[in-house]
Amino acid sequence: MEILSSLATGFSVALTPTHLFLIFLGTLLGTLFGALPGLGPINGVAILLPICYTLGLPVESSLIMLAGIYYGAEFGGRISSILLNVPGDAGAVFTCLDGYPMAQKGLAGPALALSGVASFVGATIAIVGLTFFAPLLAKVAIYFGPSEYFVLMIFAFATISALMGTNPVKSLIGLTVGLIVGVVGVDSTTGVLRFTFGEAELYDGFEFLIVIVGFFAVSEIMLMLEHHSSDDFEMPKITRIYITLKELLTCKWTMLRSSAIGFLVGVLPGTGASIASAVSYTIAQKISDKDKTFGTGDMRGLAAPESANNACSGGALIPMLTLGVPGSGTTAVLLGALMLYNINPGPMLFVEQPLLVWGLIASMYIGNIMLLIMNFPMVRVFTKILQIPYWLLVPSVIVLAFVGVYSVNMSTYALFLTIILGILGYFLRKLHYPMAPVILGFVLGKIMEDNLRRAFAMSGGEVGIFFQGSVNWILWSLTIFILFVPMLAKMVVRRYQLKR
Amino acid sequence: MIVDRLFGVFLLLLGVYVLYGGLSLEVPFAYDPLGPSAFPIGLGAVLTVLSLFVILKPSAAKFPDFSTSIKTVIIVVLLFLYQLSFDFLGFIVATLLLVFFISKIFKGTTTQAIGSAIGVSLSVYIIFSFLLEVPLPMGAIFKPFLGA
Repeated sequence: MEILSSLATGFSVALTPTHLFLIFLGTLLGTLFGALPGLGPINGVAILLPICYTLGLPVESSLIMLAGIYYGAEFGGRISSILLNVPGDAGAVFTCLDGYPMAQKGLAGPALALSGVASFVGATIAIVGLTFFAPLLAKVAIYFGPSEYFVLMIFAFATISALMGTNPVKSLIGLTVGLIVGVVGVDSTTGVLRFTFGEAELYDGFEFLIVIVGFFAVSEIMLMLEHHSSDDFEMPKITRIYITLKELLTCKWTMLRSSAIGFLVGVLPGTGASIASAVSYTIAQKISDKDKTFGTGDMRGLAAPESANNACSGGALIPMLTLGVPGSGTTAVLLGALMLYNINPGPMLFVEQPLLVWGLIASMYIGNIMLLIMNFPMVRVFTKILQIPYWLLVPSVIVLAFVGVYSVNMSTYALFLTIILGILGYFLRKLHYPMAPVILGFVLGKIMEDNLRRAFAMSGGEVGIFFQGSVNWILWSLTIFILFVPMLAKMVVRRYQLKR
Repeated sequence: MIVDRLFGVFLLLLGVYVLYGGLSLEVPFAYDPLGPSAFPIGLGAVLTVLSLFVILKPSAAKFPDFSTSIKTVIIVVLLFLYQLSFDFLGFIVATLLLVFFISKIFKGTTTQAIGSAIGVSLSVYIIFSFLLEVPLPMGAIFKPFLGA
C-alpha cells in the first residue's frame, strides 16, 4: 500500500501540464534521435543534455525529460535497424536480424508496429518491476556504510569486466581511464590539486558535459565518416502500418519472457541493452525456432530483442536510483546529470528525494503510453527522418553539441577539452574499448574514492572494515561468482558442443 | 595491430605519469589515513600493468582507408580551428565556415553546403540567443563596426 500511495504522489508530480509537455517533448526528441542513422540513446542524451541544462528547469523536470529522451531513443532505435539494417547502437544489433528481412519481404509496416508494441510491453513490465522492486532494494540500501558502498562498486566493476565486451582487459582499462579522468581537479577533503596542469578551468575537474559530449558526440562524428549515408540504401516501401491481433498473439510468450530477461539483465549493475537483447534472442531461438525461420524475418525474432531492450532500460534504473550505481552506459549519463544538479545519488536518494524518484517513475508510465500512441501515426515521419543526408545531419549535430557545451561553460577552453576527449574517445572506440565502463568509471570515481577514504578513516587504516558485516560478505561472494560466470558459460558451451 | 600497440604504449605512459604524479603530490595534511595520493597511485599502477597486456598481445583493429583517415584528420583540424576562432570571428561566421567545410567532407554539393551553413548557423543562433537566452559571441573582429 505504501508503494501505491508513493506512486500516487509520483503521478501528482508527473501529471502537471508542464511535465506532460516535457514527457512528450523528451520522448519525441528521443525517438527522433534514436531514429537518426548512426545515433543511439547515449549520443542523443549526450547532445541534448547541455540544452536541457541551459533551459534552467528544476531537477525533477529535467530528469523527467532526460529519461524520456533515454527510453524514447531506445524506442526509436529500432526504426533504422528494421528499415536500413543499420543498428543505432550495440543494443539494436539483434533487432536487425529479423527486422530487416521482414522489411525486405514488404512487411516493414507490420515490423515497425510489432516492434512498437513489443517495446511497449517490455518497457511497461520493467516499470512495474521498478515500482515494486526499487523500494525494497532502497530499504536494504540504507544499511550501506562507506565500506559496503565501496565493495558494491567493486561488484559493479566486476560485472562490467566479466560481461561487457569480448576482452576483459580492455573493459578494465576503459574503467581505469574513466576513473583517472575523474581524479582530475581539486581534492575535496585536503584541497590538493591533482593533475590540473595549472589550468584554473580544471580545478573543478573535467566537467561532466565536456566528457559526455567529447566521448559520444565528437568521436561519433569522426566515426560517421565510415558509415554509409542513407543515400546508399533503398528505403523499403511501407504499406500497412498496423499489425493484426493474430500476429501479435503469436509473439505473446516471447514478449513476456524477453521482457523478464531484459529486466533482470538491466538490474545487474554494469550490464546494458546489448547483453539483454543478445540473451533474449538466443533463448527465443532455442525455444521457438522449430522451423528454422529465425533470421529470415520471424516475428518472434523481432519481438524478443525489442522487448528485452526496452525492459532493460527500465531495469537499469533500479540500481541507479536505489544504490547510485548505474546499470548501463546511458543510466551512467543520467546519474551524471543528477550530479550536475548537486544531487548525490546513492542509497539515500529514495529517502531524501521521494518526489524526484516517484515523479520519474510515474512519468515513465505516461511516457511509454505516449510513445505507443505516437508510434502509429508518425511512422512515416520517422522514416523521413532516416533520410536526412549526412551533409546536413553531421554539421548540425556538431554545432548543437559545441554550443551546448559553450553555453554551460561560457568558455572556448571547454570546447578545446571536448575535442581532446573526442579524439581519445575515437581511439578507444576504434580499438574496441567498451565505452560504458569508461563513463561508469568517470561518474563513480569520486564517490568511490570518497567512500574508500571514509571507510579507512572510520577503521583507522584497517583493511578489515571491508570484510565486516553480512552485506560486505554477500557482495564479495557475488563479485567472485560474477567473475566466474564467463568461465562457467564457456564450459557449458563446450560440453553442449561435445554432445552434438 | 600496430595502432592497438601504439595506443597501448600511450596508455602505459599515461599510467606511469599518473603513478608518478600521484607519488609526487605534496600533501600538507590529510584527515584520513589514505590521503589524496593513494587513489591515483593505485589507478596509475593498474593502468600501467594492464597496458602491458595490450602491448604484448595487441588485437587487430580495422581502420579506414587512407582517404577516409585524412578526412578524419581534417575534421579534427576544423574543430580546433572552430574552437580557436569562436571568440574572434563570432559564432555566426565561425559556424558558417565549419558547417560549410564539414558538409563538403560529407559529400554535399557546394549549394547544399552553403544552404546547410546558413540554415544551421542561423537556426542555432536563434534557438540559443532568443529562446534559451544564451549570449553567443558576436566576434571580436566585428567590434569596431558594431561600435561596441
